[in-house]
Amino acid sequence: MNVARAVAALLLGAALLPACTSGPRDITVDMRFSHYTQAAIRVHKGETVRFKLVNQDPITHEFIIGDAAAQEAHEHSSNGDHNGKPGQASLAPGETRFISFTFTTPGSLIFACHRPGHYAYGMRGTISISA
Amino acid sequence: MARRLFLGCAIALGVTLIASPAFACGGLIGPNGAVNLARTTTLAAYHNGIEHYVTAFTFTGATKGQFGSITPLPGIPSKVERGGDWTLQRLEREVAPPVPRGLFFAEAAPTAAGSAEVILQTTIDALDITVLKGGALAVGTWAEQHGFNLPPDAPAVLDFYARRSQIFMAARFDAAKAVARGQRAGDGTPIHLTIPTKNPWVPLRILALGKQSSEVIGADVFLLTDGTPGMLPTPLGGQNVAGRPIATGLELVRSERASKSLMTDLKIDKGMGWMPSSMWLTFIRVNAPASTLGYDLAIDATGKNQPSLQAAGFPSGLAQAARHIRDSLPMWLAMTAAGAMLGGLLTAVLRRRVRPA
Repeated sequence: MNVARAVAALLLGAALLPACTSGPRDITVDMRFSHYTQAAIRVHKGETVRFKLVNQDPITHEFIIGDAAAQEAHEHSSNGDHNGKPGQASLAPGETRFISFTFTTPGSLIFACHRPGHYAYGMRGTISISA
Repeated sequence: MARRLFLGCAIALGVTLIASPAFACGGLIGPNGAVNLARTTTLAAYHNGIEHYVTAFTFTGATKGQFGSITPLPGIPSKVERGGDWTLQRLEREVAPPVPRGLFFAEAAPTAAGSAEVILQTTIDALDITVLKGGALAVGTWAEQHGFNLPPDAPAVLDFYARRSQIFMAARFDAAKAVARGQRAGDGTPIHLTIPTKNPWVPLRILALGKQSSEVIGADVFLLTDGTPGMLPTPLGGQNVAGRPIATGLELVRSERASKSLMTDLKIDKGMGWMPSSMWLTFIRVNAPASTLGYDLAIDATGKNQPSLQAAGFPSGLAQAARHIRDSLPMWLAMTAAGAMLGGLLTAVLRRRVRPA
């Protein structure tokens, strides 16, 4: 009986293992002195990343994923709160937030902050998505 | 002889440029994170262990909106009051001939954290002034929560100052209130802070807050001390001390015993009765691109001529200070320096070759 239980447990564990390993990857992005500490991120097509966003600054920052056209649109938009939108977050001073994003298409994306003057100040980074 | 002169000039220029250039009060913050600030005039006077810091906020004529300013301070002020209307104007007149219109522009100034501690709050004319104690995150967060729209370089600048002194003065200028008070464009509100401190320093880096890197920052800085002050970095025209960096964006325009008439005129202004009978006047003109204003003006008023590296914003030593100043040299200046050195070297080589064996 005990042997049967052990075998069942082993089988269950083996069945769950792939699910564990294919879970979202955690990437921490710190924001300090109006820059991202990780300016270049590499992911795979189809990969889901859970971003831990840490705003160490005393001012509000954003983390917005998108292509160049989307960044351009955000730069001229007056939309202040990005929380709850896919691949977007607004962080109050000292705040930490988690967002998940699945990269479905190979290529390159930009993540950036569009608070006034921040993009021009250099608060941006790139995400390379390999096929 | 001419070649010798050229060689000497070339080497002198090269050494001077490499050993010197670049630069380093309050940063002004408007609704969109930036405000055009004309020229700032500041007096840092020091006597009997007390710094008297006088600066002015000039009303620019806006009819609505609020503008803020954050000024780092070397210590907790024992008093914040309206300054006399005359002091800054009189100092300007001392160093410049009167303009024909008879107007003097006291252009002004600047204008994990646990929570910032509010040390003092007062209202002077249309200015709401708060003296805060706290680290960069605490003070910056307080400012954001109180409507100050800090520009993106604010976190680094606040951190720069908080490592040295965690005392800041936040001033909010209410344009509508100024209009209601009958203030007209160009009217200044002088602020006089009395700050007990071992040695004064003048915050300069904060003047570049929110500015484009190529924007030229202008300021008139007056010092009144018992004797000749030691300064770091050394302004152009100042007494050079070996190894001490020279800042080309700071120009020493006056360094002299203050005239009797100046002392008399200043002493009768509001809040200036503390002045002794004689003081040393130093006038420094700041004209520097924002990207090069990376430090402050440290002052040694003890007569030992040992201004503090930390007070200048260089806790890591003189080498770091010199490197910073050198790195912030405009490219054309660096090229000129390099060219001058190369020219000098070539001259020396040629002279050696033509010398008879």
